[in-house]
Amino acid sequence: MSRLSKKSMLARAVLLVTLVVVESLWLEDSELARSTLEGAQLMVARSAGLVLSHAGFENTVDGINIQLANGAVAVTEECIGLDVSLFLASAMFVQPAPLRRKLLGAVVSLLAVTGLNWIRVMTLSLLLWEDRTAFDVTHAYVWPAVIILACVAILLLWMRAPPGDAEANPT
Amino acid sequence: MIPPDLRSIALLLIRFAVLYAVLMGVALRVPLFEHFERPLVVVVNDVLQAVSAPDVTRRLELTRGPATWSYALHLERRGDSERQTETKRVEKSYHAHAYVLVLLIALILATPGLGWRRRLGCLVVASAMAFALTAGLLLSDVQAWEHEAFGRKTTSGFLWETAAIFDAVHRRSAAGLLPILLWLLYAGSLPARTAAEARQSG
Repeated sequence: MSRLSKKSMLARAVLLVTLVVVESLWLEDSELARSTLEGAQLMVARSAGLVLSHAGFENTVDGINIQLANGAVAVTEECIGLDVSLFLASAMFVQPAPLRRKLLGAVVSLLAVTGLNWIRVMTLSLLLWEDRTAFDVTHAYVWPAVIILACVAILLLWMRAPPGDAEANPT
Repeated sequence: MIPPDLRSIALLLIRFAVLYAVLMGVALRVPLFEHFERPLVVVVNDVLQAVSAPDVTRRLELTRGPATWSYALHLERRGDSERQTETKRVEKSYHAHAYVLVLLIALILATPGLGWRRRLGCLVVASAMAFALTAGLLLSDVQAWEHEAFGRKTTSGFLWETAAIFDAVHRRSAAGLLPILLWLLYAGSLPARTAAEARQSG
């Protein structure tokens, strides 16, 4: 690896770490982040409860809690995936690519991670209905890996996707 | 927009999923997570001894209960008189910090196009970095437990301010995702770099 590319790789890594730390602190302290997350948590709980009811799984939604026959699933801040989307977008931001492509990547990441987390809440609710042990294992070991796998897929696809016409032939 | 090397990405994902399942199976059987915590607790305890003021004692241990392992934190803040001395003991269930390492090892092993020497070097460096990261995370836990035990902020100084940053990272997915993103930053540019190196040497 040339000295220049080593330096630029290191600079990108430092920038990524800085961005992730700043975003983590912002998510922790900011009123805007907190209210956005709270709103999203309520929306996910309500929509998941509604779909589960339509599918024949009786439940009541109390705030962020989906109360089922065998227990309750709490839609926490981590279930929204805003942090994961932000970190993924940061990894795209530090790469050398046109701004439009970075923004597109960030939007796709947000939609994909949010959608995946919604599916996560649904599957965990269904598992809690059926089998508590399966719920615990899936919650602790399966879904975190699935989310990581999705992040790896999104980032690699974004990094290796061929440039669009506008990027390939800038005028 | 179909990427040209979709196949290699799919291969990486499948290999990662299989390796993760195998490593998790081994980790839960060994049990790796508990064994990883032992040296971690020793290192963090040494740091606590080194940074604590003379009138403060902090001792962190890993204890094995009937069902699970737990952290035991002994705290003592000595005042001018014996009456002013505060002593607390905090017990918390252990946290599987090595989970980050399992994810990272699975990803490094699954990444195609690395020679065995480079892969081994990456595994060593990644393990050391993951250990340093988890030591920071545990230190941030100690800080939070101490504040909880005394009911007020009792720590100050550069190390503890740094620990607060680790705390924010710990509360979010960043602790698990950041090492993965850093690896992808490196691995994602491998084909391009290999080609550039070949051109340079040719």
